[in-house]
Amino acid sequence: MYKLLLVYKYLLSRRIALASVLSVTLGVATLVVVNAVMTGFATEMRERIRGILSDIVVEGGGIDGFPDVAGHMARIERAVGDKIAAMTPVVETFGLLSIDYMNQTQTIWVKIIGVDPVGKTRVGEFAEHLLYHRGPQPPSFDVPAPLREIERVFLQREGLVPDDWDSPSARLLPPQPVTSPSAVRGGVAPAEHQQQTDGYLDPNPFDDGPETEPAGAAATDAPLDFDHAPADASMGIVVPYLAVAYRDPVTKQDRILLPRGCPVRLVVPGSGKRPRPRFARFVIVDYFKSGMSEYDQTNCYVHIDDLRRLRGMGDRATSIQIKLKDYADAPYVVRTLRQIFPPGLYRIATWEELQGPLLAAVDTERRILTLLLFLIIAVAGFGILAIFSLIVVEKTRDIGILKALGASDAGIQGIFLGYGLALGAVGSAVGTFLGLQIVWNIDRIEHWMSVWTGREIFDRNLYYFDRIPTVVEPQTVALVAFGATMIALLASVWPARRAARLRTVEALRHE
Amino acid sequence: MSEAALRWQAVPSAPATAAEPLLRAIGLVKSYRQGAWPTRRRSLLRRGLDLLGRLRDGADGIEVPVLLGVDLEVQPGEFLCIVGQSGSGKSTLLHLLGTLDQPDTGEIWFEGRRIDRMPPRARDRLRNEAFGFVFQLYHLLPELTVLENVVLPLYVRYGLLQYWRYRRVWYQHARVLLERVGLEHRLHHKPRQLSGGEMQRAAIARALIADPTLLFADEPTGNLDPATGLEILELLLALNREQGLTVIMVTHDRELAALADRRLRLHAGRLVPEPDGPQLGVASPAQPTG
Repeated sequence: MYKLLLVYKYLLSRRIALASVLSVTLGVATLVVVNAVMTGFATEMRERIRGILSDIVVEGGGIDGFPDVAGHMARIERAVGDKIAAMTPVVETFGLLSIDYMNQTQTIWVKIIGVDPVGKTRVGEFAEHLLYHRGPQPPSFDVPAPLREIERVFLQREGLVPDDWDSPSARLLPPQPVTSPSAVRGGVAPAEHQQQTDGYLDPNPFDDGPETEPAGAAATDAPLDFDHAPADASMGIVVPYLAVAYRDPVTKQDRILLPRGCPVRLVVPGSGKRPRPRFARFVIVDYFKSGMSEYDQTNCYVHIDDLRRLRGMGDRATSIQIKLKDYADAPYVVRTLRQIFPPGLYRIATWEELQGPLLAAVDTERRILTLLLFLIIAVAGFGILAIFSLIVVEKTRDIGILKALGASDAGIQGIFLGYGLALGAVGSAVGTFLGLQIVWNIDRIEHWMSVWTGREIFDRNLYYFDRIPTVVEPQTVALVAFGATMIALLASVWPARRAARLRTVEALRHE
Repeated sequence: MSEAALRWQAVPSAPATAAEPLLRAIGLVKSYRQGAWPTRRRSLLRRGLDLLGRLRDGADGIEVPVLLGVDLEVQPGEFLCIVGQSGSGKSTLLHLLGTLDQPDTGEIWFEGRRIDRMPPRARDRLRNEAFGFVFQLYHLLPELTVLENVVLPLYVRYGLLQYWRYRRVWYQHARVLLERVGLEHRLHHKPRQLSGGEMQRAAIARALIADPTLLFADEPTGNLDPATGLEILELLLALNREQGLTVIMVTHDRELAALADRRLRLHAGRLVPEPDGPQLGVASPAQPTG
């Protein structure tokens, strides 16, 4: 009983001890905030990745994919149909996207994803990541009439006849504007352009002779007629936002360099044992902006049928994306599908497995930060140890009095252990409260700090978050508070034992 | 009791007194090591340092003999005063008798039980239940109010459950005692707000709350002016007379000591009868007191 009373009294009367616990408070607050923000980041990122990838992906056959997609889907349906909410075939390949801006041609490598917009919308988030898409209806790759008009204006302004790029000869002799249209292009200095393209046209060491590219072979390719498609039939494409936009460093406003309706050129590997490049012109119908800079740099979406025709791959698909009714079934579904589709030919994985290294990296980061911050609290523990030792010295006579009145050694030890526990609990509670307050007002605090320091703390360029994402996990907060309390308790063990061992008589004589 | 009586007879030259003494000390010897570490058990590091120090001509401390064979008997209801010069070991003797410290050799018996070698928990309980202590420097806990300080021994003795059940009784008891010592107007003051005399009164009330058999007073008037000191002593005397409380008081003030039933002088590590006292209280077996 006297232990509780004295702990209570000491708690009220000893300000210096409260000061020592301030470091525990700050440590706990920091830990709560860091954990909430990092968990928020991770959660946000996972949600976005999951939305882009869908729950389970069945991949096979490299970039050429596997045939008989409908048959595959039927087998999946038979096996685990009751667990599946939706699935859609997808064709993924790499390619080159050439964009013209201010008379300069830039070519970047992109990931070209052929999707069925309706099916893709069902298996994951797709419409949400399109910059201009509004309304509940699924997005479409059709080029509406106004964009068509813009495209025509662009093509006229550049003096490009549609066939200039898309003709079989142009396809066989890649970007070769020097041959005829240099005069037509006008704006570009011909000599300079010549030099560039000359360098580009250096004999290809991998080119194993002229017979590999006979005009006849190309002419007999199935999608040949598609290559001849007139300009007004060019297909819609969703281009990666970061590839065509830049942020003005002064105004912080994004500027899209290529408006919708602007034509772009795409080079993709054709299908078959000996892939040949295929060229096509597309019209920008939308921009892909998910907030994950990696995807926003590289992900190009076109209609799956357009891509199949362009690459001449029939009804093949490189993967089937599956959305489950309940994600908890994922391990079962993956196991079942692995039995159906031979592992050597197909890769079946959840989105988490596909993004394993990235997610693991984020988790590792969070764990290490937590560890480091706990070390800070441990340092605070040594502060408590020092102050407690001083308090024990200061209280030596009181300890003697209590022992003279019949308090046992264990009781004396209990007073100081209880005191440490109480201080730790108070420090943790205040720290948790402080941390949660910061988490809940983090955007305001960030704004305020940015104004004060004149430096942006949270660079929204990096992640395209409008607000700092935070997720408070109650069990993490509880664990942090508990851990900090335990550190305070541990720090008081040694002083408490010292107090218990004091000899009564000498303690009483202590001045 | 019977077992204790047997033990008494086993002690050589045990007196055949009619009334059994309340407290009896036999051949107490105690020496102190000056400059020693104040904790009971010493750490390994400290012991290692000791060893090194002893190799270097005993820097561990000097053995100072304090008590060289003290014999004492205290009868129930007695007011015994031990006088002596400062540094003569009066307080040490009191601490030994009150089990705050252990003698090097010798025995202490209380109500037929040997108490100098009791296990720590039993000794703690004995102190709490049978002994009351009043110190020269009052030794009140500064964080607690007067009332809480007085109830403190009961806090120490009982747990939380009993506290909830009996706290009103305890506080009532404490109020009565504080009234008895004349502090009823200071119940909720902190010790630092009180004068020396008031603090000592509070300390006496605290010593009485557990209804002790034996009260140890270590220079209770040492820090007080003569008038206040006399008041305190009169309070102790009144408790002794009215309630039959046995008191062992240590003082160096002869005038105050003259008021006690019996006076002993601690001289050169031994107890001798105070020469100018009217009564002779003797601890030697040859002269039993009665």
